[in-house]
Amino acid sequence: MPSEIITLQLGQCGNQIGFEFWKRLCLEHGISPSGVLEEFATDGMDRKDVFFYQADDDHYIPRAVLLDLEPRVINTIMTSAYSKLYNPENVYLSKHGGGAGNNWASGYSQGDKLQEEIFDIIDREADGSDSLEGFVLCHSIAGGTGSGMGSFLMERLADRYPKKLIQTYSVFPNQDEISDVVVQPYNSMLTLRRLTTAADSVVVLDNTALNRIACDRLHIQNPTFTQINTLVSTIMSVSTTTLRYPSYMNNNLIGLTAPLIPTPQLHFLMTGYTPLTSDANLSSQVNHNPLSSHQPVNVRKTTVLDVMRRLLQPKNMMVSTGPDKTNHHCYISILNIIQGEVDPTQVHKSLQRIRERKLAQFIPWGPTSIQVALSRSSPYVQSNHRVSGLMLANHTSICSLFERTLNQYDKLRKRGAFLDQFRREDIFKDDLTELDESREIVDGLVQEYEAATRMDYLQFSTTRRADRLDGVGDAKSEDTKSLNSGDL
Amino acid sequence: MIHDILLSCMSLSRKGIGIKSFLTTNVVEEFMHPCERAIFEKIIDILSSLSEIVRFAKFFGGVSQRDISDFSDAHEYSTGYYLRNFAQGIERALDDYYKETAELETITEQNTTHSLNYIYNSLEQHLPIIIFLRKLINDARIQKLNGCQLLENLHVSYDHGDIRLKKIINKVSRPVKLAFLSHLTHWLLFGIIDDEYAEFFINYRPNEGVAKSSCDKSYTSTNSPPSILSEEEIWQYEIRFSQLPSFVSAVLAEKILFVGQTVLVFKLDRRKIKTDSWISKSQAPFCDDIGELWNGKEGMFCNLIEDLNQDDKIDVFELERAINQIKKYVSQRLSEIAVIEDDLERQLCLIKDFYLLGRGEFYLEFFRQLYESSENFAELNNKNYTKAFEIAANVMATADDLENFSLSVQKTTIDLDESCEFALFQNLHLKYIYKWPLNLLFSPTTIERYNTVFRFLLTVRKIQYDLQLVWARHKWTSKTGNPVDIKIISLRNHLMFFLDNLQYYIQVDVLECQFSMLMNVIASKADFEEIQRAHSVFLANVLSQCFLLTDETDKKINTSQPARHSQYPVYGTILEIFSLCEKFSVVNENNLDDVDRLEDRFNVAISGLIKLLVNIKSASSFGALSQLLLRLDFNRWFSLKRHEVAAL
Repeated sequence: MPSEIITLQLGQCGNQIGFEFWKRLCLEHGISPSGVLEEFATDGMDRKDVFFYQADDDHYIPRAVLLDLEPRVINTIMTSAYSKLYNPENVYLSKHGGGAGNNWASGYSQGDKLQEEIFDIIDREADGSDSLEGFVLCHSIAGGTGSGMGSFLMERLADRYPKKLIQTYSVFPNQDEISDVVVQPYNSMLTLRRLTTAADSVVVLDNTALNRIACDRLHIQNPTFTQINTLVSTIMSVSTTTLRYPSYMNNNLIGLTAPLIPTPQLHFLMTGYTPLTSDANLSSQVNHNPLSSHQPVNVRKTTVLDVMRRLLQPKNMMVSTGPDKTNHHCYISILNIIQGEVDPTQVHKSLQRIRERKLAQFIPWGPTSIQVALSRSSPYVQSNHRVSGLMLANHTSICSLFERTLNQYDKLRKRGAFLDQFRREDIFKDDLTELDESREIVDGLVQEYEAATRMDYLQFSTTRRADRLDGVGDAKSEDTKSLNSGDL
Repeated sequence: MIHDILLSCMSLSRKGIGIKSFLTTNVVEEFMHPCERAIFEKIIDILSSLSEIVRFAKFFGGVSQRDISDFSDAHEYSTGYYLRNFAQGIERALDDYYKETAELETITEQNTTHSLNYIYNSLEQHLPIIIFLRKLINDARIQKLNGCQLLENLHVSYDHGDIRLKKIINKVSRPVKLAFLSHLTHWLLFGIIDDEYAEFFINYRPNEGVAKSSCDKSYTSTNSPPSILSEEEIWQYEIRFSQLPSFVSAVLAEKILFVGQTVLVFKLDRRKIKTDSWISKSQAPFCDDIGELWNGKEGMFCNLIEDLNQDDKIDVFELERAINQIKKYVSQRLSEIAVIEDDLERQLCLIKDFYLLGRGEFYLEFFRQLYESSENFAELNNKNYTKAFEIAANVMATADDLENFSLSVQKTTIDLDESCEFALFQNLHLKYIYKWPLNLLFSPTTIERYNTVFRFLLTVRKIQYDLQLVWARHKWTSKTGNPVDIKIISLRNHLMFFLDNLQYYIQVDVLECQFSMLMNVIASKADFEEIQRAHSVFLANVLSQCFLLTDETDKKINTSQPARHSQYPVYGTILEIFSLCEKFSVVNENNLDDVDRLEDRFNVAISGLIKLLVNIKSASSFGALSQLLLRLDFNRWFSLKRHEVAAL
């Protein structure tokens, strides 16, 4: 099966959302927790092989690599009903099990030390696929393992697999509440740098927004991690439906992301999903078994226009962008994946209505539109909505998220707080340029997004590139040369 | 003397009229009063007209033509059963006349005092009929009427004011009608056209290649043994409009054609197909015969047609009613079989998946197999395509669905521009082996049309694939700190945007919409003819909304011709952009001049296209174009840019 995708789950958060993602995938493809295809799913039209492969005994095994530096989450997974699903050889726990102590630098250097063992797993997994298309990385940017080791892995992957895509589902920390991780701004900044330079597309999952949505839209007072992660798994699974089910377009990762990402740097994607089901339905979907679904399914009449309009509302966005006071932010590109019973003639009418009412503001420097992909949905998961939709959008206001990270970082950095634990690791042994460089790159990213709201973005881009070549480019010119020869 | 005349009245068939020779001798002078001479000549006039009619009737309607050996005008008439029946009808119409003459004779025998005038009077009564009959015969001769035209000519004379003539025309047309109805019955019930003189309005026209001996009379017999009937033959039946009588409307004729074709489908030799496993299930409930179609009802329908014959003239409404009844039965039966036995919906979904590229991932794999396996495009040959298609089918585990599809490369006579690689796709032909009773849906022209769409979609897909690879290359190079020039990126975005939205337009606005309409028709348990009609509407709409409705000469994409000269501006511009995309994907990115040139050409092309779409949109309410326009110009980028260019 072509266009296989290998999922890498890193750290506590990455493994948790990954776990929910695989649960959801099993459900949608009719695969039991032990990897056996259910009776009712034997003649499915779906493409299981993109994310799963079949062992000799016909068990379906996820193309997933589970990595963590401390055993807690992975142990939970390995003692759950899904323990037999994963290939045990793909589960890697560092031997000392001490974790990364929420320290990016620790995660990064442990990644360096363990890279041989980790890449043994990844290489084996890559060899096992006919035509690997890319990697999907699940992690959070605030902690230690997901951010630090994730950063290291991204760099190495880009190096080792220069012709494979790296997509990440990156969880951004909740900025509304005080974090118990004091160095979170450092971690975020250092990871953001790798997301900018090494990843090909980043799906931003902002815990601030996820919590807000859980409270406001789903009416949950204090949302738990499981509830949030269910939301995340919905987004992850829907954003991959065009890969997992036959469809006319967006059949591979390139086809899915290329129309969304016009210039290489602007590859941070927002998501939105509607209609969001209430808590009761959400949790029932997790442990959903089609045979035991006794609750009457109350199908609500949602139209394509309803879905597409709601997707454009900021309150449904899974990224908290903050108020756009100058109202200058705009969409660079939009892809709506619509599922359910859709009358295709409605798509055009909805597009027309949205344009007439100017519900979305677009970049002034190039052609763009709302692309609508009609996708099949799993026949084994009942939905109580006739039509549902996911939006993958490239929106300039995402830079406000990075700006906030920058602000928090600056506050901390000015005081020079908590830098000792970083200095202990190799990468910061000599000086802290790594941090400063990261800040510069992230600041550049913010500027690029700001520039993308303006007419003269293309000129900006040209001058910026020239600057960057003088500055950061030098440091990496060694790598560049060796890569170029293989690449062009 | 009078008796002589009467004798002549009776026996007109022989050479000339006996008494005519009286005129040359002095018999008339001697035996007739001079004042009777004029009357005598008048009688002879009538008799000679009559003789013409009788000679015609005897010559064509008689058992053998030896009766009249010297019928010199014979070549002026057409030949055929209708003419013979027409002659018989005329002869029958003369019965009254003969009877009266016989009576006249008895009267004459009893009472000899009757004058010549008396005979003339009784003959004169028949004069209108004689003139009328002669007119009919003359019509047939002068216009060389043949077959249904003859019937048509009679039909238009039906509602004659003169009650006697009306009676006569009924008598004359009855045998002709009989011939017509017998043709009709044969065709409707058995799918046989026994029409050696090309008289019926349904015509069998064998293809040049197949023609062989079937052009001559013997071809009719080939229809009877069903095993010889081949697939293509069904499509060689068509309506011959020159023979279509006015009382059969074109719609009705289509229906008649449809019924006959359906019968032919049932007569197809299915033994070959039956060896395939997938149809084996259909063996049990249906036997492979026409009986399967009629289900014992053929007698009923035969009577229905025979009933038409009871009526003296052709009752248009009755005929229509009968045909409709038969058609309804046949098509319902067919759709029953098609939907139940062959899972029509599944078949159509397969068509959509493979002809209309519904399975995008499959074609993605096809391209990958095609291009990753062979680095050099020149190496690509016919085998590669077929092989890549098969490998892709295996890899994607769609082999089961694809067992009825096969891809082949056809030779064309058109010189292909080697630089344009997508032109090669114009040679591809996707063959679909449909299940048996769906033959009526997939005529060779239908398949060819599907292939036209298929090639177009494949081209779009291929170029999109190329551009996505360019995107990925740019993305990866940018990671190395060696960014690609923004100009190139910008042009790439424009091209990709165009292709993506063109494809969204085609797939969602055109294909999905039209397909859902088609499926609705099928779901509403329509009879087969309605399905057939919906299917051709579907295909026609798809073709026109993909801008593919071009004439034959333009069918193959001819890239060497500048698009502006094309007759089809929208399609031409799209092709121009296609070739730009293709050039772009292989352009040397260090040479910015080349990129500039491509960009200029693209700007010209796209602004032309937008202008065209705007103009057509404002000129008419052609929905498809405004849909494409909406997608392409969603943020008004191109239209604003056009104004800028215009302002400069």
